[in-house]
Amino acid sequence: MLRGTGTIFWREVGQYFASPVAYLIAFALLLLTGLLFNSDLTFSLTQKPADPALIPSFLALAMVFFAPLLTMRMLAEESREGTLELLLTAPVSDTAVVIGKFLSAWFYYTILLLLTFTYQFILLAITQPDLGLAVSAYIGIWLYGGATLAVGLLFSSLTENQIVAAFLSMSVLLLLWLGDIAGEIVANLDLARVLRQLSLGGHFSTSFAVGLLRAEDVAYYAGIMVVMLFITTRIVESHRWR
Amino acid sequence: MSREAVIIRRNQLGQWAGFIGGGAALLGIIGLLWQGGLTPIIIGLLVAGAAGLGLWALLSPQEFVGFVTGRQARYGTVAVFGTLLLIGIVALTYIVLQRAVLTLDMTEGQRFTLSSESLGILRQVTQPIRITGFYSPRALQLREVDDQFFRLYEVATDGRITREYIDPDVNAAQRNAFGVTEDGSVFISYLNPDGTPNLNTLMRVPIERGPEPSNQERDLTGAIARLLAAGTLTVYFDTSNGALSPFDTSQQGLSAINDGMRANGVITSVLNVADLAQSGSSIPANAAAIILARPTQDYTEAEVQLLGSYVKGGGALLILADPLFNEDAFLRQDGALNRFLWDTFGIRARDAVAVENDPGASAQSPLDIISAAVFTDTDIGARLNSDETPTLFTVARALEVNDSPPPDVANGRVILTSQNSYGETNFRALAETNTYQFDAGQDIPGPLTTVAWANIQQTNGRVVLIGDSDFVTNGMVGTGGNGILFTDSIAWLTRFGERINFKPQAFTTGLPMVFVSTQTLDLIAFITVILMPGLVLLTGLAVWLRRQRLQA
Repeated sequence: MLRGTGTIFWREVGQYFASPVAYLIAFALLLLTGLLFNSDLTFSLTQKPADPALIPSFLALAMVFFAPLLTMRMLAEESREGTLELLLTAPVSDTAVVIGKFLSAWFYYTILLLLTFTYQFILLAITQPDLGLAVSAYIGIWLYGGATLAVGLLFSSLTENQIVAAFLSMSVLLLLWLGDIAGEIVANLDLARVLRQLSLGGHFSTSFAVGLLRAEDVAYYAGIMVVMLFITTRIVESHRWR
Repeated sequence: MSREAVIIRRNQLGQWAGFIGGGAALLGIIGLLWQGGLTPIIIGLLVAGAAGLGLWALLSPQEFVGFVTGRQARYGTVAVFGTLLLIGIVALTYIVLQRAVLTLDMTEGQRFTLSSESLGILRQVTQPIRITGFYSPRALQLREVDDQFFRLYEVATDGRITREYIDPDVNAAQRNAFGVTEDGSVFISYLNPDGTPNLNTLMRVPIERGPEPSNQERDLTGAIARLLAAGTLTVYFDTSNGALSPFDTSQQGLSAINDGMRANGVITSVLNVADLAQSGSSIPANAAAIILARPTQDYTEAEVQLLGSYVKGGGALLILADPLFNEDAFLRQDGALNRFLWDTFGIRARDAVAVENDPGASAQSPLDIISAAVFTDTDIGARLNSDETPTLFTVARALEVNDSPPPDVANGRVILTSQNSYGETNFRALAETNTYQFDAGQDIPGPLTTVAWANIQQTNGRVVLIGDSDFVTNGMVGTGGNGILFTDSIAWLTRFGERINFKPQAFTTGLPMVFVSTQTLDLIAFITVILMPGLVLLTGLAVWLRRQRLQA
């Protein structure tokens, strides 16, 4: 299976870097994070220490919109163009197809994250940021991004239309993100707590983003990825018996 | 315009019935799991589900049988159960890890790790303590942040400290019983035998919420230390000789400082030195300190002897002395108490009113004295800062400190007036015409001492002498550093500060502010807003052009 996963992975990575859309997404993300970084830096001048978790915290919201753009094509396009059937007849398992595609999206996202390290290097050059906090926030947003991409991939497998896939995954990710502020929407404390426990932001904003690495949060993001990829695999597999 | 008939086939009707029935059944099952029992709505949903599915089976029996027994059903069921099983395993793993409290504090200042000082205080916890937090759903994020700290205390004490959260919107009775005034209020208390919080030992945890990040460890450990020390210290207010009352809630009263001490676990009470002296009794043995809050009449020799034997034996006195213009005024320069203080401790009050001519060290009038200099060599002045927490005295009395104190005695100054101040000795002119003018050779040139301390080293008897009493009245105690001066004076006198003193984790860990030039900022903006995104965009453009060329 590893070999099959590797083959799919490199094929997808190649497609990412050959597609101008991926560069446009990177451009938009870097422009937004750049503006935010400069704005915070100007505000911080002589006022407060630099916040190394600023960019990861922003990415938590940004990924709600960017993750679907990165994954919408992956299975929906294959399904629409009929290449998914071809892929399923190739000597690779369904699991390898799904994991390979997911890993390629995560790899691309990791490259984007690495580009934002520039901000940390700038902070290091001009001041003394809390590096431990930075590492924690980046680990968190890396896992968070993996989870959002897994959700996006699931919706890409559900439909042949890329726009529908992107819209559905954005809606679900937005709901999962809003769970972090469930208390401001839901009056029932227990329900608000459950919603927050289920939310993507709730496992980032009060732990990774403040420098605390908790096993339960790592388990949450890993669990989201595993469950989403499992369901995606079952959906891809269903093309064989539907 | 022609009309087309809408034909609903039997099969379609069956499919719709099955679809609606399946949805209702699913909602009913979720509701059942959520509520843990049957409610009319859940029963309705389950009945609707069964009816819908039954209708489907009746109207479209072949499709229904095919759905239940066909290949799709087999694969579909396996997929659904497999997914449910996986979700169960993930949820179980999550719950186990959550309960195990496995955390790694990545911050450089170890902000989420209890300091050794905190752990030292927690080792003294032998009775169960409950942290009770009041958070509404709107304060859920705040609760999650606070809980990161609270559970550290639970783990560090092997469960002797527990935590409980109450929604103040829902539980009004508890909210009122605890005296909750704002969302996010936190209290600590010992527990009754039945496991409920003992409200008699209730103590508010003063977590400071504001634009700056809170320091939960400092605030919570401080409160626990106070709870541990609670009930072990008794501070008496002397009510003889016309002293201010600790129960007076008016602007001139002392009820605020009295309530404040009680809220921090200090037992407060009153005694009458004059009565004790007259009856030949002694000061209560449990008196950690006695406050002489601006008596109007001076103390007799017998009263001074009583106080003297108490303080020489290791007791503590907080003396608040305003300039008084009456005959036999409290602490007059040649009075018995003032002589005792000078002979025993090398400190005394002078018959002089501080006049501040430095505009930066006075408020509305030259008689409003703002602390110009603070000595931080004792805990009394350690938290005072002339710039950020200046004390404000109204008509203050000048004090004198003997720099060569009696043997075995240490003394010193805490607060001074400015160089431009002086001590007005003409009480009559001041009292009758409110006029004052520096008279060389008669008045005392500044700077003047307004707060002094002394300590008998062998017995640890302590005295704090303050040339003002207005600063602790209800109307003034919240001004500037007035409250801090009182609190820290009591803490030093009773050694309470030594018992609850600990070094908390600093939140910012001393991280430096950002200082960069405008040119550097411009360069950073160029790199991050133009260069980086621009390079990525150019690469994308190159890729696109290459593809166009290849396609052509």
